[in-house]
Amino acid sequence: MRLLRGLRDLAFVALATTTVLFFLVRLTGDPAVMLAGESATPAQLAEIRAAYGFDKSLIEQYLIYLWKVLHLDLGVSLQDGQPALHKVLMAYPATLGLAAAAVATNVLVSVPIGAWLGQSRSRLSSVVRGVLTVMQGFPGFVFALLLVNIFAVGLEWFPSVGYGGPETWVLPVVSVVSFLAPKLIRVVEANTRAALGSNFVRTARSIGATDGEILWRHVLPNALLGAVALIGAEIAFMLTGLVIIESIFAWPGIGWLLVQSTLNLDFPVVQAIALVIVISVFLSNAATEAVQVLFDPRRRSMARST
Amino acid sequence: MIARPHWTTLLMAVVASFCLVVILFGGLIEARLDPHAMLQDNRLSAPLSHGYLLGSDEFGRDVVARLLAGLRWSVSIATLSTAIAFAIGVTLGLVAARRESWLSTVLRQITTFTQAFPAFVLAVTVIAILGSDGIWSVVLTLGLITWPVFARVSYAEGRAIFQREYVLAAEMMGMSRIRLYLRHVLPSLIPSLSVLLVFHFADMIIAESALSFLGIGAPLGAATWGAMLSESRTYMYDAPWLLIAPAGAIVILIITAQLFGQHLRERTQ
Repeated sequence: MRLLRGLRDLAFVALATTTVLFFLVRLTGDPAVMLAGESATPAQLAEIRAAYGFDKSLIEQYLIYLWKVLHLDLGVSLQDGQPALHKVLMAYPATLGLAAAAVATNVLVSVPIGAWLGQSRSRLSSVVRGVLTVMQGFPGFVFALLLVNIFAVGLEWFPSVGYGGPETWVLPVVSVVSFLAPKLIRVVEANTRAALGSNFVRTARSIGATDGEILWRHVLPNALLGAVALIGAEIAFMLTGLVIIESIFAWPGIGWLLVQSTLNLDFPVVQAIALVIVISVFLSNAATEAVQVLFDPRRRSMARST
Repeated sequence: MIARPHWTTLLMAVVASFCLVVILFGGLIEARLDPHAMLQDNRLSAPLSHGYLLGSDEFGRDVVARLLAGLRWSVSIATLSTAIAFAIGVTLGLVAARRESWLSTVLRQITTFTQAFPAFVLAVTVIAILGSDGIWSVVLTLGLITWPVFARVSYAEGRAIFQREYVLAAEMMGMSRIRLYLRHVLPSLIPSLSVLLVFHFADMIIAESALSFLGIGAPLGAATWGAMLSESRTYMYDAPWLLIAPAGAIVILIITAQLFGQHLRERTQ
């Protein structure tokens, strides 16, 4: 049942996205002129219209387009004639790799800091909180530019652009983590504090559990559950950040491809990227929910009863 | 006795009035400080040299003048698109909250889906397709894409408010629907909506500067913070002030808005 409902929602989102993009592209300009250039003769234009099916009615074109999308045919790139979907899927691993590295680094950095902040009232912790507030004011790409300026231009520790060996990953990953971490740290901090003040921790303490046991057995699992929910919800947010981070570091992923295709008015590729992103966000949301159900006994019993 | 305003409120007031003055007197300021005037002799002057407070860029254009012109562009776009998102979102949210109808269902669906879809990706795509260079294509796209945030909050809170006795009483006494919304429902939403407005404004500043950094939206050669950041990359080695000035402007504006928003949120909770 849940699976069916999920698939229905996915189909709806994909349909809505393709429909909106199709009509936006068609309503804002003559695609034949765009393909042939402003200087094309009427005969050339007619030829292109017939070849691409632009001479049919808009509804007919739309239905044909949907039929092709259903068969995973998203047209060819206007730049180099490659199938659009192929181009997008070729670029996808670079994006997935960067996203995975960023999420992993983010968890490794943010969970310990958040858990520490949640139980600490020292002066150092208020300094860290202040730093976090300032960090939240830095848009990811501004932070990335400053990193490039300091570590690539000034100190020459890392290359400023490129995709390859481990040294090319450092600055892009740190840039993405810089805008993911403050939020995750805040959530882990709040959850840790809430768990520390809860009844089950008081009970555990009253029956003689040590601080370490309480932290590892009772507080961290609860804090991590909140973190999982946030990481899932932030996937869409992270993709936004990736578009611009990839452009800064000339990272050959779909964000970089999106900007290049956008500037070149390569609409088939843009449409393919939008579709791939919608499906990815949807799948990651579903995965987040599954992980939560798997690890949270309360949710597990809820899922079983529905 | 009047309570002393919180320091974040004062900071916000100072920054906001500065922005207002720059926007209102933009023409006068540009007559004195032309963001497009090029002085070949003064290319890439360091800050505090040749009479430039923050230096000049590769064409000898004054960085201060370009920062102020960029402020007009960014703040105007952020304000207008926030206003559009607010107007659409609150109207639809409240209408859907009053009575369960097909609109409520559609709205719930739209808000869930737009939450899942990266708005910025959609904005890049739509502005590229619309293809026009100018303030309105950016304003409308950002406004029309981001309104569900306001719809979600006003729908959720509005539903509770429409159940309150004083609203039901006013409705039964025959108060007109528009008066009901304006007099009784909207005021109760002001605390949470004003927090949302401040954070949304900061988000729109980021979105706009990211768009113009990528060269999408703003006309070529326009003095925008994003374009300044983008141009600074060519002279990373020789002229770091070209990066630091616009980055500092963006960060100051956003941190001010966020601190003020946090303060508002703490006060309303």
